[in-house]
Formats: sequence, C-alpha cells, structure tokens
Amino acid sequence: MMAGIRLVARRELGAYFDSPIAYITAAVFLVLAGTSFMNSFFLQGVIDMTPFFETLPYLLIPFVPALTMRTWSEEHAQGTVELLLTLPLLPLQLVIGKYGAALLYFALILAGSLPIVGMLSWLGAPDLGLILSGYLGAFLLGALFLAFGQFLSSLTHNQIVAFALGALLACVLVFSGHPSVVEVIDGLAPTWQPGTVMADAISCLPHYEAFVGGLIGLDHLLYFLLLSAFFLWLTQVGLRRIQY
Amino acid sequence: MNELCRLHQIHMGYGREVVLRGVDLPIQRGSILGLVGENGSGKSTLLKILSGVLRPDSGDLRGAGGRPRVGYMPENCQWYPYLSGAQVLRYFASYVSASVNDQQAILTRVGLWEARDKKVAAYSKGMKQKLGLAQALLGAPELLVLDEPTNGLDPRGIIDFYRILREHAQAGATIVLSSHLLAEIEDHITHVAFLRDGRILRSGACSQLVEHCGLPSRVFIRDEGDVAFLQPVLRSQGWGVESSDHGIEVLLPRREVGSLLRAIAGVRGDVGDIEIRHAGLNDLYLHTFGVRSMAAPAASAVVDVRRNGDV
Repeated sequence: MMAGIRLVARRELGAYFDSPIAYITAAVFLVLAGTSFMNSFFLQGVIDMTPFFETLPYLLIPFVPALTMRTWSEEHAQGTVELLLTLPLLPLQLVIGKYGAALLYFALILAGSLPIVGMLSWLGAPDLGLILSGYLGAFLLGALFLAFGQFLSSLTHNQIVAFALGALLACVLVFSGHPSVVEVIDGLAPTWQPGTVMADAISCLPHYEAFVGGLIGLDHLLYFLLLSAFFLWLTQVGLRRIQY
Repeated sequence: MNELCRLHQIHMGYGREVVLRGVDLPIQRGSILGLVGENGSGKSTLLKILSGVLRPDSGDLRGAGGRPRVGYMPENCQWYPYLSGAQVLRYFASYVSASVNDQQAILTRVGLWEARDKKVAAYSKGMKQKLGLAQALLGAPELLVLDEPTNGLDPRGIIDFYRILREHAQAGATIVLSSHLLAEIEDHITHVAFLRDGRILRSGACSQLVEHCGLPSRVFIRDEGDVAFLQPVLRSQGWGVESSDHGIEVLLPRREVGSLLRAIAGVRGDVGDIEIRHAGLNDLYLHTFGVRSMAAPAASAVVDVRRNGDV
C-alpha cells in the first residue's frame, strides 16, 4: 500500500517541479505573504508572527485551488485517468499519493516563510511555541483546502471550473467565520443568530485562529483531520465510481 | 493454444442503459483477437473491463494465473500536452518499473525516437496513437488491449503498427483490439468476436468460424469466349453455379477448390481469368449480422487459365 502511495507521490511531486508555474506560484505566494507581514510588522513594531498567520487564510483562497485544479480534472480531460486505473494501484493509493505530493509541496512553500522566524529571533525573542502552533494551524488549513480542492477537481474535466469551485468553497469556509460576515448574517435573524451558528458549524476560521492563538485543542485538530479525510474519501469514491 | 483468461457472464450498464448482457469470451494465449461490432455495441466498454478500467455490474475476468498484466491503449487519448513524448513515457514507466533502456527501445520501435523531445501538444493524431501504443507496451504486458488503435495513422503507420503487433504476439503476448475496419484487421487477427447490443453473437478462430458457418469459397470464371460449356460439367459435381454477364460464379467448400480447378483443366475450351475468393472476415460479418453482401468480391487469388485448361 505505502509503496504505491510513495510512487504516485514522488511522480506527482516531480510533475510540480517540472513546471515553471509551480515556482512562480510559490514565489508570488511568498512575496504576498511576506509583504503583508512586513507591512504589519513595521506598523505595529511587535516581535510576533500573528499578522502573517492572520493573513494566510485569505491568501490560501486563490492559492490552494490553483495548486489542486489540475490534479484530477486534467487526467479526466486528457483521458489519462483510464490509464491510471489500469495500473497496479488502488484508487485510494492514487488519491493519497497525489494528495501527499500536494501537501509536501505546500509544506515546502510554507517553509519558505521561515526566514521571517529567523529575522524575528535576530531582532528579539518571539514566542516560538506560538509560532509553532501557528505553523501547525497553517499546515492543517492548507491540508483541508488541498483535500477539498482535489475532490472538486475530480468532479470536472475543466480546470477553471475546478479552480472556481475550490475558491468558492474556500471563501465559504473562511468568510463564514469572519466577524463582520457573522455580524451581518446574525442581523438578518437576531433571534436565531444564523451567522454564529454557521461559523460554529462549518467555518474553519475559529479552529484556525485557535492554533494561531497558541491553543492546540483536540476538537480543532479533529475538525481539520476529519474534514480532510472526508474529502479524500469522497475523491476515491468518485474514482471507484468510474470503475463501477 | 491455451486460455489466458476468460470474461465470464459480464453484465454492465451506465445508469438505466444496459451496455453488456452476459458476455462470455475466452481469450486464447498468443492470439490476436479482433472485437468487431457496430457503434454502441459495447466494444469499448468490454475492452475497459478487460483492462481493469471499469468493473462490471456482475461477472468477472477469470484467468488461470489471476488477472494478466495488461497494457491498455484507450481510444482518443490526448496525453499531457506540456510534456514531451519521452516524458510521458517516463511518467508511465515509473509505475510499471520499465527501465530507461526499455523506454528507448519502445520509442524506437513505434517510430517516435526522433520526435521524443517534442511536446505532445505538437504531435499529430498518428503520433499520439503511436505514443499510446508505446505506453501500452511498457512493462511487457501479457495482454495488450487496444481500442481503435489505428485511428489517425497514415498507411505507413498502419503497416508499422501491425508489424509491431505481430512481433509482440510472436513473443508470446496476447492482443485484443477493436476496429470497424474489417479489411484492415483481416490479415492480422487470428480470432474474432462479433458483438451486437452487448451480446457476443459469435467468437472463435477465424478459420474455424468460416468452416463452422459453412461459408463457401467463390470462384469467378471470366468469359473469354464461351464458358457456358463449363456449366453442365460443374453442376454435375454438385456445385452451385450462377451465370452473369461476365462469366460464371461457382460456390463450393474451400477444400473442393482444387477439384474444381482440375475439372476445368480437364475440359477443352476458352476460359479467361479465374478468381478464387475464400470466405473471410467480411463474409463472416455479413453472415453473423444477417446482412446480404452488396459489394463486389475482393480477389484473394487469381489464376490465369489458358486454352486447353492449362493452369
């Protein structure tokens, strides 16, 4: 099982780095994240990475679907998904292999922001535990976005549609927990407070912000892990449906 | 020949549409099996089940040694346009542990070595088909499954394609392919299966099927004088004889063609060309599908008969 997953992941990771788009996307992401952080850093003058992590969910809304949009929709469009299914691999191995490669690529890009930690440590004494917790939250948030991005890519032959669907779902998961949005929706039915209910039920933002605030709770951890696993399961079910 | 595997009672549908209805098909080791049928008869679905892309609603693929190692060439595969032919092959080779030497040998064999570094986006339809064949050959599969493999190939490409298939079959592999072009596959396949509305109407070795169906050979004797004098002689042997403006046509079992030629040789008179046409895939198709032949027969052998019946 693991050998098959490793094979797919290695191949997929190679495909990411074969293309200049991967480098350009990573560079754009890091420049945007870095600029946004430096702006806050110089304005507030605090040795803290929180502004970086606070901006991250909004940057990931277009970034992660751009990574995942080709994952399966390209295989469908080019007809190569049929060839993959003839290989001595289970659909689950293909899904986890592709997901693992995307996750590793995302982790590498996230690691590209480590110079900020170095800079903060050089300038003062940042709370490294808080930073570590923030990185864990960022990794889990990316993992969730990658999981549903891959699932949505498996539903369509069109990469643009996959991107749009991925960005839309990411928007829903992030903005449904944004205080301004919650307030507006709550205002529509003050008795029921639908905005708060929605934020508690589906939004990833409260769970992510808990990590950014240094709180690693089991409920927050499970939210990301279970939801990611659910989307991966859905993706392999979709592939098996091609077979069945 | 022994059996490599057998499709057993395959039923398959897409939603409410039933595509395959209880298909039983033995596949003999080392054979080249042509899957022939009209559009929508279920050929591609059957090939996808055989290659493992699809799983049937019921039924299974039974093989003495389990599921054979399959190389599959789908119809109209577009590949990854931003990769070169060699990169595409390397991508799939990594899954089946095919060495770099194997990849190079296969690219050379299918005639893509010169174009290996070109992007697939710049490939013609025929080159994409060749890349499909190259990909299917990776890992030396026991069973090669090819869906409409010569679509888009030029005549040279078709000749090369069947040469590669023959070499592969001679090396012990088994090949299953679908095609609409009976004349094209006739000289290359050893077995045939006719499919209609998701059912196998007839399958087996081509020569045995022709004999089993009792399809006669046709001998056309062209008129270069007056061949009418032959008719009573031939009828006396019990062969069916039909007259036309250009001569006569004799229908007889293949094994009796020699006797016919001897009978003609024994009669004095002017006889023109003799054209012998043994029943083939086209006749088998027409017979199986219950269609009357409209086309003029193609010659499989022409014998020039001179005065006094010298052959």
